[in-house]
Amino acid sequence: MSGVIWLAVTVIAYVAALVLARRVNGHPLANPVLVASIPVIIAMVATDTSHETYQEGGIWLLALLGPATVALAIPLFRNWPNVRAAAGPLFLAIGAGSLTAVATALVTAWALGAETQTLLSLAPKSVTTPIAMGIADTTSGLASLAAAIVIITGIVGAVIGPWLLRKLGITDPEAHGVALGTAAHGIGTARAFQEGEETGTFSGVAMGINGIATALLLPWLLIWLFG
Amino acid sequence: MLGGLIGGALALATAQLVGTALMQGLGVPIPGAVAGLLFMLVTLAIAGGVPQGLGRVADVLLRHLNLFFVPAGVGLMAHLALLARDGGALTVAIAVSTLSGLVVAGFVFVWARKRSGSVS
Repeated sequence: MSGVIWLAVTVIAYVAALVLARRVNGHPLANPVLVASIPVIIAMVATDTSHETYQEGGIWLLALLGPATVALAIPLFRNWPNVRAAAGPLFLAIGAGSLTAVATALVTAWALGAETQTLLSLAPKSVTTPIAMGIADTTSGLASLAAAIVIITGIVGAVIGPWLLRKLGITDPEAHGVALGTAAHGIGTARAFQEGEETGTFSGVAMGINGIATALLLPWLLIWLFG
Repeated sequence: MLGGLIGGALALATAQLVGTALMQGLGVPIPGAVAGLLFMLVTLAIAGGVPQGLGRVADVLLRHLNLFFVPAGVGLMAHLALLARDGGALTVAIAVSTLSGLVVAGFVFVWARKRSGSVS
């Protein structure tokens, strides 16, 4: 029963976050994941609700991530000629962005004195939650830590990414999509769809390709690095 | 119209199931939903178009993609203590690497596209 209530609370908080986002013309700081989470967390603390109880309701929304991922095939099919025409630059950009993210994450955390287990949980941060948790498991990282890192990565990328790209003179919607999808997975892609279908499509493609390549290659790289 | 929407939702769920079964059968570590995306794309290419109901369901799901991440955002609270590990190292590393990956991907895309001469 309480699961259903928390499901309703989450949807209401999300709708309120959308209203706020519209008020401020979709300003990236009004990120719906961030804005909607806060009142839900406050309600949980106020009613002394455990995380497990909350997720009895939350799991229904998380379950919809699967069909939503499959649904990315539809804008991809509609925009197929554009994606095909950009295939070369797309693969180059995804490869370069993905490697940069892994390398800078490991080097920064290592230089600041992080433990090996933290490093292993940090490496798969650019890809969507189930892939990242799987990689953390196979490389003896910490799956729950990896999941938390993935969500923060998505929010940081979605909130700061578009602004930073524009500051650096990148305004092409397809480039915004590739960057958001490569570095900030689904939350970045959600942001990209707010900017437009073309941006969203390229973000979805980048997220998918990066996810597949990371799942297949990153465990080998980490085993080689950390033995 | 309603039939079309239900059919669209069923098509998405079926594609995910097929993708999950295929990846488990082959023992490949790719999530079922991503494999389902590829399966759906091939199916659409063979069918030569997107049925209206499916298109509408997909549009709704993608417009509200953020909603499905809110429970994960709430779940962060349970892991806040973990993020304090290793002092601020983790937080700094997340911010630095996310933004560098993003900027590199954006620049390489623009650069590679100019070089290939297909400026849009």
